[in-house]
Amino acid sequence: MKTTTRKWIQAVISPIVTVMLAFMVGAVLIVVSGKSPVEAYGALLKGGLAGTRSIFNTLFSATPIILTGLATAISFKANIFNMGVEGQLYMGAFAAAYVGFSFEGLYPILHVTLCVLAAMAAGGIYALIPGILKGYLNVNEMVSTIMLNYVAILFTTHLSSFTFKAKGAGFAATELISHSAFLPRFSKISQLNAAFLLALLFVVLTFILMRRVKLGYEIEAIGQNLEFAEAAGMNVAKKTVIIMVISGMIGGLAGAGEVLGVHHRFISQFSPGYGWDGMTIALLGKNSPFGVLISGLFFGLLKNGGSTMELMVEVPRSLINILQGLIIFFLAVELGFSRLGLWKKIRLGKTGKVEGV
Amino acid sequence: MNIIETKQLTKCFGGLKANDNIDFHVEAGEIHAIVGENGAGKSTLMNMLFGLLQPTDGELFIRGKRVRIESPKTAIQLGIGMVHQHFKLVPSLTVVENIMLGCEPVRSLFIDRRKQLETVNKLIKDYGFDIDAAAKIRDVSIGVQQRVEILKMLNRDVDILILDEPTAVLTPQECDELMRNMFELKKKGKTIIIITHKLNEVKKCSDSVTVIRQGKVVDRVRTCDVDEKELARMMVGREVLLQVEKGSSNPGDMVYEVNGLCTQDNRGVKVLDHVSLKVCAGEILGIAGVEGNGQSELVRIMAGMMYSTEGKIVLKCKDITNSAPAGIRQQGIGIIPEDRYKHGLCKNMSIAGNIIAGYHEREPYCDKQFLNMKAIKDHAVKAIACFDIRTDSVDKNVGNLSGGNAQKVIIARELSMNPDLLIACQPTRGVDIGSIEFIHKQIIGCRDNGKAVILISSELSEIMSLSDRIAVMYRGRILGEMPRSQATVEKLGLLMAGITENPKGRCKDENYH
Repeated sequence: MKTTTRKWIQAVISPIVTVMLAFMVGAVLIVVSGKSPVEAYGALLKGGLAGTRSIFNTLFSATPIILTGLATAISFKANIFNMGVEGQLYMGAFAAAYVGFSFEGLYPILHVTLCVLAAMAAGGIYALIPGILKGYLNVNEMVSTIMLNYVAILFTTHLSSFTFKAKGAGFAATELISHSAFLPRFSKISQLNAAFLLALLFVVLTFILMRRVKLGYEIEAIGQNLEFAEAAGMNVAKKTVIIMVISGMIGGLAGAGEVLGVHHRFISQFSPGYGWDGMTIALLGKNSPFGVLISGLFFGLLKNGGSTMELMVEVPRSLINILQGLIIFFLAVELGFSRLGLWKKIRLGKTGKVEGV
Repeated sequence: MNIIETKQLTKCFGGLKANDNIDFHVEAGEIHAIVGENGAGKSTLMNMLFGLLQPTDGELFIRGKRVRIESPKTAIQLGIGMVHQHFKLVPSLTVVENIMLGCEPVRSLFIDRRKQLETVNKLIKDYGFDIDAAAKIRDVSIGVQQRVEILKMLNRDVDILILDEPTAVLTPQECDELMRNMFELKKKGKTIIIITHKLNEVKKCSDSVTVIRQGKVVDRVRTCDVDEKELARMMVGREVLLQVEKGSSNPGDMVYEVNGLCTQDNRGVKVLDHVSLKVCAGEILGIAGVEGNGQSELVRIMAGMMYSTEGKIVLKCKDITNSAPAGIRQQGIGIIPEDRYKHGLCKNMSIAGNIIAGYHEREPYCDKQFLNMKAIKDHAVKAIACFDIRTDSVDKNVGNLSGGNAQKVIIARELSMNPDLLIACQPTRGVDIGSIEFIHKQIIGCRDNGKAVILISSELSEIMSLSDRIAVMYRGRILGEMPRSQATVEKLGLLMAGITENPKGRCKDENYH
């Protein structure tokens, strides 16, 4: 048990240190702009946590990014870099909206299920393209997924601007979905809705996938040592495609949550970069489902508390973006250090090369 | 005069002594070969000379003066240049640009291209190399690239040139060209150190040889005083370290047959040439040979990690040629791969996870896509007890285990699945004595249980003490095969050096045993 505890502590400490560092640099920036960091961060926390309404809003902000974080984590864990969660989210969102406004008078539970399934299918199929390219033709998935993001965003913009544009709408959006497809909200004070429960469900499902299912074992092996996975008889090409599809499905689900729970229609370019936030969250959460949950909630807190901070202490909300950027920066430094073995090099002094006996 | 001399030079990596009190010297103006198996410590020694590694202990003298070489820069200043096995060239630049990279002649702010070209052309002419100075690196052959690397060093006025396995990447014609170039350099007064494990090349080009084995200098001899056979024996060691107790074998039915197997590496060079083997239940077939003679490729094909271009592999009357690794395991073949941490284990995964790898789809470990964590853990706990894997927990990462214990994880995995055929490749490389004994016992136990075993090892002593039948590989062919009772170190040494009693070669006679 001792070794697992130690592993666990290590996994928890480094993200906390990363966040602290980001906040320290952020504090310097606040001081430079002539405000008190204590007050600013106090307002941030208060805005995110004080009162039911604040907490609900924090959970609401965290919902889509927990899902995109999970989508990213699954692929990152297998050392496959699905950077196309944003695009998969758009495809899923549009599919959910389409099923949402195309049917009427269905039982709510049935209608919502159909919408969710359609979204997951759309996200999954969209991720199938880079998956097959990567698995069977060895096309770099980072490039293909990033490029396909633009395709998805513009394609859905096109659909919502022309073919499926709502009558009389002043902006590119589809018709409202039927009431039966709405995800219910928990209260009047916040937009928090059942999508959050779906996100929690998928945290648990992803945990089970990673820890208890054969595929999870294979994801770990492929991610840690590809040649070993191949030598052990895992069909790496096929698994790559499957992993991409699962990742895309969860990305699609994130899009469905926004459509069914928040906007109730597809609005072109509605996402402020949920897919990209997902990447930061996955990295901060060390690609573990519960890590993703915690860092997703933390990012929700930042997003939600940011506006209070702006109102109360006049520190602009863009500080939150700076903090996010700093977190990514410190994560990248840490990754660089561990991947390139820099710690070891520093410790060994200038002896340089260690390998090659 | 000794241009290079080392005294008690030692390099440790953690507890492992890669170089152990090396006393070695090179005379000015000679071609000196350093031979030894992979992992014997040749590269470590050379990396210390070139400043890439710092010695843990000992002294280093260049031209009689004691020096500390802190980096390749110091080495070049001292006149030592090294050409690595993997070239460090820029493909999109020309030969001239690559040679002059980092020391371009400058006129005001710009590179003096004319002078640059003149310098390089003069170099090429001086040493009689065959290179087109204006060609881009990506358009020229590997042999030319190597010459460019050599010129790059010569351009920095080095007079000691270290070539790290220079022929490993060359075609035979390019090798001959390299030899010619080396003689030309020697005539010009340069000293050359060549690292290799190909003995015919040593014989062809060197004046003297240092043989290294397990981090120690075995001997330094004049090349004309020894033959390849003797060198082979010095390289793999003549003493049988461990005498393993084993009864006589009772070969049963034929289990596994390899017939006329051929393959090419990714450069299109034929690395396996009609290899044929047979192994029966209850016997150990040992495959001996100096490393780099096709053994790795043979194992990779048998493991399903590489395709054969010709030939057949039959397991119990079933054709399994070019099956995928999963299929090969399902057919009942267990594999102990050559590179433990690359193909055999996943360092950042728990021992329990590693012990089911490749068998993780089978019951009871996996039931309808779900892993049975309890069964996996029970199995792992049992395995570490049975196979004497020293650890306090099966949740520990394999990366934390010592080499011997890590190897036992692989052996536990492969043997506990009860395969019909065990392919063991270098099963005791880098493993402590205690574990070697244990692993040897396991392999013999496997045979005594009526399994077929193929043992590939470059340790002649290991082959001699375990095998019931011994085949020798040389240049991708099986050069000879004999029962253990008829095998002697001398006989095997000859074959390992490529010398057959019957000059026509037995390799054509594939089914003679």
